[in-house]
Amino acid sequence: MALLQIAEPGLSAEPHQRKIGVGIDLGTTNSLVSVVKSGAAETLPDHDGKHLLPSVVQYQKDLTNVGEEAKNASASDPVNTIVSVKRFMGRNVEDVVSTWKKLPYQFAENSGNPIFQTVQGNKNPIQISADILTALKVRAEASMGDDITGAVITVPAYFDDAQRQSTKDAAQLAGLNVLRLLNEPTAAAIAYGLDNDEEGSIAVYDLGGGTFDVSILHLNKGVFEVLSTGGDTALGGDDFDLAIAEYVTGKLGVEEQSTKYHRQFMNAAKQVKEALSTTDSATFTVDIESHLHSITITKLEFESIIKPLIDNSIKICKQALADAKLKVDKIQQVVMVGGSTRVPLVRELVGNFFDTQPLTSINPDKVVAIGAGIQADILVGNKPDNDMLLLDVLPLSLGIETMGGLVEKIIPRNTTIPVARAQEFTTFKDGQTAMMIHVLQGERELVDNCRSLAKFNLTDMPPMAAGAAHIRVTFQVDADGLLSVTAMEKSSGTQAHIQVKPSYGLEESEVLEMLTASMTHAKDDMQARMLKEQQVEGQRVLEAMDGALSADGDKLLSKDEREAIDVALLQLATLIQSDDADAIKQQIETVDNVSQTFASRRMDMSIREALSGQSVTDL
Amino acid sequence: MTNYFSLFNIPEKFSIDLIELKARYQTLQKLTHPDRFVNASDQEKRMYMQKNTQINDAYFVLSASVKRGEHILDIRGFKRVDEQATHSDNSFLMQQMMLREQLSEATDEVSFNALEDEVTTLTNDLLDKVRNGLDSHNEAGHRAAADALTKLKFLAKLGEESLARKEQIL
Repeated sequence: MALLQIAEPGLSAEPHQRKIGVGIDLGTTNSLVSVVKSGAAETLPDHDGKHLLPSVVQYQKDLTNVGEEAKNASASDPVNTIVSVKRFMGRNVEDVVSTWKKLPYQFAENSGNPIFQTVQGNKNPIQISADILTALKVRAEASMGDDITGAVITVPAYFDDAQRQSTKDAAQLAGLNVLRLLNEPTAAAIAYGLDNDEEGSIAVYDLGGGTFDVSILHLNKGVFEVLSTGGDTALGGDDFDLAIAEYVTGKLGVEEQSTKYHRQFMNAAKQVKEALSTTDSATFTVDIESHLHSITITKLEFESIIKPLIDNSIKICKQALADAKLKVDKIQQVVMVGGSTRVPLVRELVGNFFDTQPLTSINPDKVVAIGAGIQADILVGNKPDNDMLLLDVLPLSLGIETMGGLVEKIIPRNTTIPVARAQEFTTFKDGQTAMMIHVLQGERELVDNCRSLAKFNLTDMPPMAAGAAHIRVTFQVDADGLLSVTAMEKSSGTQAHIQVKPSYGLEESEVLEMLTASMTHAKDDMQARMLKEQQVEGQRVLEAMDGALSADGDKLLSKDEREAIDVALLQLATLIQSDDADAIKQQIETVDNVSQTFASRRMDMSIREALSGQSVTDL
Repeated sequence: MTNYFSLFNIPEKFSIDLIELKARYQTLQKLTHPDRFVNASDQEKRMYMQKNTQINDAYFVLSASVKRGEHILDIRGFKRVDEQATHSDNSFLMQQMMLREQLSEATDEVSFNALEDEVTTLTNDLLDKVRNGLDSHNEAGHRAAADALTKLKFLAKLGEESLARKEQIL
């Protein structure tokens, strides 16, 4: 007979075993993975010592390249090399084609999702992102020499439900357990330890290679709230390079910069830009028809070239402050994110505008990943004493379509999540037996100006007079900002529930299908993996129940209740030695069922105890 | 229905200490937030997620005076009728029309401020009526409180519109 291990409450069976939680910055241009090692979060390098993984995936017939190698192939094999896939996450193909007109890809027709046709077959943005995530996962596992418990993945603050869902699906496909999706600006603020401050407002200024984002955050005792966001998807360091290249072209008197020399001009411009971050002048050199052209550019010249671009970003900051209903003097800290914030003039102008010295001590390319790593370490339970709690808010309002193409908001933006809200609607026509429910996200009043997330029909309602039916629509948003919607006809007593997933996410079955397809190994491997998973889960349940029972079992359970739980646990302990994955799974469910009352009593007791410590004068 | 005052373990009264409420909210958050149950069983995750959602809703209701008043009426089993009832209160309707006229004619800071002051005075007056009505614990008091709560919603809407218009104009 197997004996149950009993551990002291609060002590796990193997105290030396640290869980590994990684932070992942799944970026448009580059991606990074970080982990907390000996107390501090650091990003992990690849074999060549490079920390940044270019977010580029090249599909060859039997081989998938991710990162530097794929990036180098983007010019020679543009159709099969997907660059900056993040732009396409949670978007439909019409959106993609109309926004980016000169894309070299071949899209499959008649699909909501953009489907890239490559030599390796059809690929959607979720699969492509999963390949990037897999590369980072492999890197982390190799570096830590162990399995990853879970990951915190960052997303832009303005990402809507479909984009968040797609990110989560990609992680699942990559075999990552998502601990939490975290807003990028919030991650940057955590990296600087700003969550330790009592109260204040923070601006996060993020100028990358191709995009600019600004977020205004409010912090109150560990509660981070995103007040507003703004940005320009076509403003970044690449525009600095282009401005220099154009300036030089004029000065050299070279003819219209032909595409042939475009790359060379841009590279030279980039070098000059980087040099001028530390020196007062730099030489721009290009080789045109074996003739070397050089020109010296001073820091002053450079700054006058790029100033209009930075001024644009400041204008967007002003708008973001107005949206947050804050005056500029309320901003206490400015966090700098993105490689282009290394340019001294950017720091100077941003500092002038917010009237505070921007925070730049952490590498601006890595700061988001580092914040995510810190949060991941806390979430996997490596810092039990840490009291910090990140309360996130819904980034965009959720509502449904009502008469006349208007949106009725059901949950307003900046509501603390998780949240559930319900609203009642009624029928418009006599004898109406069905109702279409159109779920939307956004701040505008008209349906056409909001993002359509899902449409579904509530059918089989009993026919009633117009206005007599009571249809209760419930929106539920989890801690990651992901939504499920339920509709129910109340007055007749008959109920109809429908759960929806956003149009551009994947169904659970689709994820499973892709997961199976991506497994290059035989069925046995799949089964072995499932057995291992169930055994680990069973062991975890045993340990957790032992801890709970020895802490509160005597207090909260009758003799019979206790016995029922003990019997179920004993059976589970025996079963996890077997190789029957299904039986283990079933027994875990049995344990869950017989211990439900116990679990709920424990929760209520802990709440009562916590609140009894706080006294109220007239209680 | 769940009594949110019991959930927060505070007395069931219309006047509450908002700082105390917030402290309790944060205590409950630290206990039940999904981030604390990343390694827990699915059952626990589900259970605490539901509790945490309820706590968020409770805080939302208790921290806003109108919602708090309505919640007290609901838990005492008082049937709130819909807003139509107020339309029969002629003096209130007249007052609303005048305020709306004032709003549509407001063009400068002074006129907006005057309007806001008036709305604040009326709001405070109605809040007193709610408090007294609920403290009385009788049917007539509950009716008076319900009536005042409905009027407060009209005023709140007017206040919002005034703010939006002020931002637009000034």
